[in-house]
Amino acid sequence: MNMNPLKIEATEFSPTVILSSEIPRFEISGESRPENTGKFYSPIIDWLSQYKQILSKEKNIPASLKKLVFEFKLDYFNSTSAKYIMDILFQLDTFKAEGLDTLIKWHYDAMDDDMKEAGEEFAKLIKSPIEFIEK
Amino acid sequence: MSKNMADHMISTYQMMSKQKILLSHFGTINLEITNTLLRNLKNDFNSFEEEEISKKKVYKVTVECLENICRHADQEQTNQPSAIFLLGKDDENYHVISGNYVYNEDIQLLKTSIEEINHLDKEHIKDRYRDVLKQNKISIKGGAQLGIIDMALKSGNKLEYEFFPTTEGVSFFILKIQIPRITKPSK
Repeated sequence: MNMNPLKIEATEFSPTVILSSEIPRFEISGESRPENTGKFYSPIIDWLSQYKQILSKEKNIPASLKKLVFEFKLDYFNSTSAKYIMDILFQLDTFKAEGLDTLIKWHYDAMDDDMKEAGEEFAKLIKSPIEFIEK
Repeated sequence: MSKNMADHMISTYQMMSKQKILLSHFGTINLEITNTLLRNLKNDFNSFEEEEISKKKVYKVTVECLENICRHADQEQTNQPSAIFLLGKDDENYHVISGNYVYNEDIQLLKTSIEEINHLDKEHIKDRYRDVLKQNKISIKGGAQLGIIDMALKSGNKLEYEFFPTTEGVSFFILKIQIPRITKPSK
């Protein structure tokens, strides 16, 4: 289960990313409007696909990793980022095949109906359950 | 500048002069300028008492508008890089106005994309949004359309637009979006 965590520091217009199976913690938070959206999100997609490969080879997945909770704590994301968030969510759906239960936690500001609605639209397109958390 | 467009600019200016202008930019709009404008907008919003809900919506629409112009500027090496961006507010609404040059052959696609969304109610716009999102690979058209859908959803209003023919093969595209000033969440 050795996999180096992926940590990306936030910038003014791009989010903090923490993907770590050790803690375990999977989270994207902040504002998502990276200069090159594809370039920003591809290491995240790659990390998840490698993690999935590792899990598929593991016979005894520890209980702490059986449930994968992925948290989105976004203040804002642009329409280009929406496509990549969709890709992450679709990929998380495939973890079920490796015997994992995925849960998406979608945090949103109480004053931000649009952020909640965006989460609801994603929820209609994926199999993993989404829990909505108002802050 | 054609006469029509000049008239239009004058009436837009007159309309805007009755409002409080929060942001205005005339000239090239690229990523760097977009970042500067957004930074200024954030600072303004932090220092002024603005409605929280509207602030977020205005920010989102502003991003999509500016990024749309950048996208066009990248793709289309028109010889006229000048663009405009205005953000103002009156007692009831925020007004986002952008203008940029587009090739005439791209007008139809842009028009169709906007008209399609303008004819749909909110639920159907969301259906369209999901349709575009779930596509494997988003085309340039799809990418631009997500922006248009987003602006319509966030503003809750129809997108107003006009094309003004300028020099050969190129037109000036003006997009206007109104965002109501709201103080309470809808739910």
